[in-house]
Amino acid sequence: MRVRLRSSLFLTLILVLLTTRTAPAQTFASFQRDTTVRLTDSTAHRGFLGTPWSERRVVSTVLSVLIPGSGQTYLGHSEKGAAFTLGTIACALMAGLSENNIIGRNERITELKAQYQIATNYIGADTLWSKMVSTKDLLDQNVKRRDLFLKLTVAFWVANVVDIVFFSDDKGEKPFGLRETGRGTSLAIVPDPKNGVNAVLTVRF
Amino acid sequence: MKKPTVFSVCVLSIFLYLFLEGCTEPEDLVAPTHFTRVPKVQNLQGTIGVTPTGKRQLLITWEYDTMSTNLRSWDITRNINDTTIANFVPLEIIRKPARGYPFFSDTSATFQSAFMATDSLDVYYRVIPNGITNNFVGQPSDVLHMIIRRN
Repeated sequence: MRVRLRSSLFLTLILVLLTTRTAPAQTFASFQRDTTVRLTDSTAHRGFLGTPWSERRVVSTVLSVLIPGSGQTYLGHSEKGAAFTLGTIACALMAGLSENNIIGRNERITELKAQYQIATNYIGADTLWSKMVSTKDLLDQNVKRRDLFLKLTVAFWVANVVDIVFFSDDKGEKPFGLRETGRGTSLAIVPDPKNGVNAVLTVRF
Repeated sequence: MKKPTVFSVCVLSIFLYLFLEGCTEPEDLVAPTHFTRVPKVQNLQGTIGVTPTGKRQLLITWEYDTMSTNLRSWDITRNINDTTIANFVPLEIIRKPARGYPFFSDTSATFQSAFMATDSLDVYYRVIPNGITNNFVGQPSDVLHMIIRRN
């Protein structure tokens, strides 16, 4: 199981490195549509590693690599970004909880083993053995659950990286909260060169 | 733009390393030894007979793996008209014989017709082997049930 997990993670790493290198050629078409960035981003002409990637796209990719979904949110895909972030965090949390259970059950088995070795009668030893077997069953379930959620976490992360590289267009730089144009109330934090940050409350009828 | 890429690859490597090395290996179980530490009581049998002096005698015999050296003695426990395991009373310790199989002869006054208050008695025996290493008390035998009737 560990070897398979390791090989899958190595494949993931290779995939990510390959996509990072090949992505610019494939995203050139989307770059053409990305007029907001092209007009506002002075680094767009320099490109990323000799390719026409804007700085916003590079930043979003780095953000997504570090925190899944954050790059999508940065480019304006809030719902998709939130889905990636929550999905990854939920899976990682489940994997972490299972890992915690594994550590606890390992300690329990070690303790039971020590008691089993010094048991002085069959009945006591058999009771300890039954406890060890049941704890081992639970431990194996925890290991399966941890491996499953680890794989899901990696899958979310890989999907997030592939999405940010190939499928997420830049919606342009807009202050948080002003992106939605429907009815309702929103609070925006707008950077201000003079005052630092302005908070804008908008009510649309 | 190279710095963020190098930085992200470094972070990714650390992330993968933590993912791999952070996983705890599950503990394996030890091989169960308590079943075979002390040889089991096998083929436990009982017969009702009479001694040359005319007393009623319950003869208990059993077998064991004579190849095993970790055996010192057997505890004979008995219960009358009661099958509760906790109520079995230790009667005698039978040492491992130098040759042949062990036996236990019970000629208690309780079983003599003159002393029996009821028409019959249900007698239960259990034999428990004792090992030499760590004085390990082995697996108790199955319960042997014998019925004694008044003459």
